[in-house]
Amino acid sequence: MVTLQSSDKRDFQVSMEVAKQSVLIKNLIDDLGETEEAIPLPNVTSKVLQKVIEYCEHHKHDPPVIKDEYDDLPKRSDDISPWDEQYMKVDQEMLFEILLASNYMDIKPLLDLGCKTVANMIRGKSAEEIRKMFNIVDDFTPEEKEQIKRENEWAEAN
Amino acid sequence: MAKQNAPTEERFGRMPTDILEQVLARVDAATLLEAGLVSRRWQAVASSDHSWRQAVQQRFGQRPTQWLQTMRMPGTAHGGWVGGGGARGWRGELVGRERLQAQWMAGARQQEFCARAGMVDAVVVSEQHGWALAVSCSTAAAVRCAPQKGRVYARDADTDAIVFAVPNGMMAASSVATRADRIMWGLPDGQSVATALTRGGTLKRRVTAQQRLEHEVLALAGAGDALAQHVARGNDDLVASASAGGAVLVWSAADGQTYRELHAEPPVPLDRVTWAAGERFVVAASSAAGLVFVWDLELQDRRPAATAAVPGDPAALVLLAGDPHAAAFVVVSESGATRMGADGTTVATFAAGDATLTAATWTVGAVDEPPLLALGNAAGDAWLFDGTSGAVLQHWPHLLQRAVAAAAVNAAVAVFAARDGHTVVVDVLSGRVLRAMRCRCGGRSTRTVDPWMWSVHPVLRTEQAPTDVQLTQQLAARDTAAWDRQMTAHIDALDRRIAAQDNVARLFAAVPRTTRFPTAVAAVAAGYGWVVAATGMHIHACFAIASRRPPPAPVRIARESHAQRMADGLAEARQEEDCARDRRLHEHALRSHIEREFEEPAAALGLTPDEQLAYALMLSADAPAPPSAPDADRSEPLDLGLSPDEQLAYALMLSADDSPLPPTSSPP
Repeated sequence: MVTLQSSDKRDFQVSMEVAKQSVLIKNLIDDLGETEEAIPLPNVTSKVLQKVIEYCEHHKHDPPVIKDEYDDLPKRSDDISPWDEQYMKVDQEMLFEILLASNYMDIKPLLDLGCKTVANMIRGKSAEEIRKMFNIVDDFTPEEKEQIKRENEWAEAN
Repeated sequence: MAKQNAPTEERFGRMPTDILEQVLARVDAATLLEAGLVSRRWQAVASSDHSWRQAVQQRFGQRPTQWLQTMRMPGTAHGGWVGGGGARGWRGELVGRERLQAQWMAGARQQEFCARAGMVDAVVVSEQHGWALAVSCSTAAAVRCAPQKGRVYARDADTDAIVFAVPNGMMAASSVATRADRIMWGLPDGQSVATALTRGGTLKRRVTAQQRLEHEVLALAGAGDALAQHVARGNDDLVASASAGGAVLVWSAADGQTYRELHAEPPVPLDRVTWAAGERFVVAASSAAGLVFVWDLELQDRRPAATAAVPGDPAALVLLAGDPHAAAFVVVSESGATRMGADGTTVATFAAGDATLTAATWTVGAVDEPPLLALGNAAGDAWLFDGTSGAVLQHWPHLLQRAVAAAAVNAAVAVFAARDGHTVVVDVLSGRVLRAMRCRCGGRSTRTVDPWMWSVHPVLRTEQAPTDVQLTQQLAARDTAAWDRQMTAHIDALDRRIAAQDNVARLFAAVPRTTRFPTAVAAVAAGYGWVVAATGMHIHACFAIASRRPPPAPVRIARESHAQRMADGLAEARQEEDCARDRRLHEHALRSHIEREFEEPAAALGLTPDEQLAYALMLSADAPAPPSAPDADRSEPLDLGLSPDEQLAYALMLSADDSPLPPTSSPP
C-alpha cells in the first residue's frame, strides 16, 4: 500500500498498482523505494485526489500504454467508454481540476479522457459560445479579429 | 452564476498551454478555426503547426505518422494552388485536401471532351501546366488538351497541336513511353525517337537514336520517368530501348548518341524495360521467357549482371518499374507482385489476393517519400502499397464490378477504372470513395452518331435519374449493390429507349453479346483536382473536376514561360519544315478515320467493315455484362495479351464472321 497526501493534508491509502498509474508516483517509488511515508501532492486537493483515485481504481487492470505508440495514434474523441462518460459528468470546475491533476500526476489515459471531454464540449461551437462556456475574456482588438477572419475565409470557402 | 464562473475563468487562465494543445488536437478543422477566434492565447495554440498536424491526422485517419508526413501534395509543399493560395504547413495541407475532397464529392464541374489520337495507349498529365496528353501507338501521335479550361488543343481539323513521332512517314509505333515533358517512341524497324515537349505541351525537339536495333522496339524507358513530375534530378536524358531480339540500347534523348548496347542471355524478346537507382541499373523483362535481366552500367559488360525468374505462373507481365532511389525494382505479373533487389533477390512481396492482377501503377516522389504501388485485380479489388516495405496502405475490396483495367495514383487521389467504363476516384489517405463515374462509348443523344465520343452516361444528367452525388454517396457508403442496381436499371431503360430510335442499334442487334471488346478505359492519369481517362479506341476524353479558382501560375514559372515561349517559338519555326510532311501524312490518315466515324446513322447501311466493327464495339461495350463465369474477363482479347493491332484484327475477324450485313465496299 502507498499513502498519498493531498494539499489539504488528507491521507489516501491506495494499492501499489493503483498508485503506479501515475507516472509521477511510479518514478518516485522506483527512485526512493517503497516508503511508509505519505507522498505529498501539493498541487492536488483532497476532493480532486479522491476523484482521480476513483479513476485509477477502475482502470487498474488496463494494459499499460506505451508512450511512443500513443503519441502517434490519431486523436479521436468519439470512443469514450460508458463508465468514463459517467465519470466525466462533473462540473467544469472539477473537470479542469482533473485535467490539471492528471497532467501533474502524469496519468496519460485520464488526461486523454479529460481532453476528449473538453474537445467534445467545444466541437461545433462558435468562438462566442466557447467564450461564454468557459467565461473567457475576448482580448482581441476588432482589427485583429478581422485579420484572423480574413485568413480563415479562404480555408472555409470550398 | 457569476460567482461560480469566476474561479473557472481564473483556472482556465492557468491551464497549461500543453493541455490546451492536447484539447485542440482532438477537434476538427472547423472548430480549430473557431478556437482561433476565442482569445489571443487560444489563437496562438490553435494556429500552431502542431495543432494542425493533429487535425490532419484526425481527419485522414489511421495512417502511420511517417507516411502521412511525407505524402504531401505538391501544392502544399511548394506553395502552389492546391493548398489554397500558397499556404504552407499542415494547415495548408488539411485545407487543400479537404477542399479537394469536397470538390470531388460535390460533383463540381465535370468536363468532357474528346480529341482524336488513334488508339490511346498512355495518358500523361502535367499538373503544373494544366494539360493532358494522350499518346497513341497506332497513329504514332499524341494529342494535348487542357481539362481545367475545357479546351482541346487538337480537334479533328486541327492537327497543329498533334505531336507526331516519326520522321520517316511510318504510320505506327510499336511502343511508347511518356512523362510530362517527353514522349519516347519505339518503331517496328528498330528505331527509337524521343520528342521533347514544351511547357505548353507542343513539340519542342525531336531526336532520333543514331543507332538502330535489329528488331522491333517493344519497350522504352527514360532514366527519370518514374519520378513524380515535379521532381527533377540526375541525367534524365538517358533512354533505354528494348527490342524483340533481346537487345537493349541505351542512348541520349538530347543528341541521339548511343551510350551502351546491352544483350540479354539468352536473347529473348524484351517487352518491358526500366531504370533503377537513378541511371545506374537497366532492368528489362520478357513475358515470353518469364525472365528479368539486370545490367549494371557501372560495369563495362554487355551481359546482364543478374538474371531472375519472374515470380508466378503464368509470368505474363503487368508492370516492371524501377525504384529511382534504390537498387531495386518492382515486377508485377498476373499472378503476383514482388520487389526485387538489383541482384535479383526478392526483397518484399505485395500481398494482393489470389485473383489475377490486371492493373498496376507505380509512383515515386522525392528521396524521402515512399514510392506507391497501386494494384487492381480481375475481381475488381484494389490495393495501395508502400512500394518499399510492401505494407498495405489501403485495400478496397470490390471497388469495381469488373476487372480493374487501369490505375493511376498521386499523393492525393488514386483512380481505378474498369473496361465497362466505371471509373472510381478514391482518397489515398482516408481510403474514402470520392467519386464514381460511369463513362461510356457513344454519345447517342446527338444527331451525329459519334461512337467514340466518351461521355458520362446521360443517365447522370436526367432529373429522374439518381444524381452523381447520390451515386457517389452510395458508393462511399460501400452500398455497391444498390448503386449497381440503380445504375443498371437506368442504363437499361435508356438503352431500350435509344435502341428503338436507332437504326444503327437495330442493325447490330444480331452481334453476339458475348463478343466483348476492350472499348472503355485503357489508361487513366490522376491530377490533383482532375482525372483523365482514355479509351482504347480512337478517342480520348477527359473528366475534370475543375477548381473554383483556376490554378494561378507561380510567378517564377510565369516569367520563365515567357522566355520559354520565345525560345520555343524559334525552335518550332526550325522544326516546322521538318514536321510539315508528317503532318500532311497524318492529317490524311486522321481525316479518313474521322470521315468514316462521323457517318450519320442514315448512312450506316453502307458501313465498311471497319465501321461495322466500330459500332459493334460500341454496342457490345454498352450492353450489360451477361451473367458469366467469374473469369469472363479473361476471354477478352486484351487479356489474351494481344497487341492493339492484334486486337483489331481479332475484332475484325469476329465481326466479319458474325455480322448479318453483306459486305459493302463503299459508303453511298
